[in-house]
Amino acid sequence: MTHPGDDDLIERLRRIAAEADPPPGIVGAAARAALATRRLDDELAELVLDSAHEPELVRAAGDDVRMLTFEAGDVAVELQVQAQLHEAGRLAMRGLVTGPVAGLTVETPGGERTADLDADGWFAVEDLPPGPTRLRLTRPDAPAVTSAWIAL
Amino acid sequence: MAQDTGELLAAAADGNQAAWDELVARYNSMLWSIARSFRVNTADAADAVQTTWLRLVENLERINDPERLSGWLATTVRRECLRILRKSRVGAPLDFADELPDGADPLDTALLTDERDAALWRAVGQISQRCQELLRVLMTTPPPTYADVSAALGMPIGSIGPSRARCLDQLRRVAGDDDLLGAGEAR
Repeated sequence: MTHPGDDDLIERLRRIAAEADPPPGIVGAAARAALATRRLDDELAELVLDSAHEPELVRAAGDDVRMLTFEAGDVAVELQVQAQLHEAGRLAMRGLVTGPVAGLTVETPGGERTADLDADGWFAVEDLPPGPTRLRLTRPDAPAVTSAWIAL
Repeated sequence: MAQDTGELLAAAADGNQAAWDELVARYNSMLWSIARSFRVNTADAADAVQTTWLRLVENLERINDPERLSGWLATTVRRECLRILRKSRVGAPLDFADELPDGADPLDTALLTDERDAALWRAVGQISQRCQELLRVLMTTPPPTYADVSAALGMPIGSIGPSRARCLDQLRRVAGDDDLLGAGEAR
């Protein structure tokens, strides 16, 4: 049964919600700034595996390691992310790139870090902030590959 | 003049910042509400919402059906929140609770000066999870269309009205005090 006061009650709740738990200004600012992260010319590497969504894989690897795999055509990157040992709130990432890749950067909305790839395609980056992160892989004879954003 | 979601998406895909800002204005509060209805703290909710907008930017050309945008956004933010919850349940060291400026409960009433508002807001935290989620989406600013609510929560449009009535009844029962509700509604 619809109560005659339902619309008023919803409006009152709307006013209270806006007062008690509004989205912080910084969240709106980050949302508006997101448009500038667009990479029209890059190929998108989709996330094809994330241990955070598959608990049985987490147990296999140990609870503290998150495993992620991105793929785009002949390029793939496998990542292991975990909390930095001696620095609370920072992350360490190591990974393996397969395919014809020349260079790799780790991007956050606020900046980017270049990682060195060894001869076998391994790389490691430390002291990363938690939050949205993506990888960009440059290729010698093809457009760069950018991974989907993922919150670390 | 309210612009159609499809036009805004197309303009944003052309790099039009004003169109993008309008999409953010339309849906950011809804995304925030969904994230907070999972009881994740402000920093985690901020990460989940920001990741959702970044994911939309990279998928701007791939959203074929503008009607489903709110559903896509809601699914994306919900998925992020579930991951965050799972992470804290296993107690993995990716837990920055100590570092956060604020682990505020979404139903914290510190910012509310009106006692009756505070009591009503606490009552929202005691109704069923499903009702909390529905009411929190319904109470976002600007008011969402039923089509958006339907897409965001994956419920048929026809069931929103009856569910809303049922959840508000539940809220009235929990809040208990008729004066409390009556006083607020009369204003």
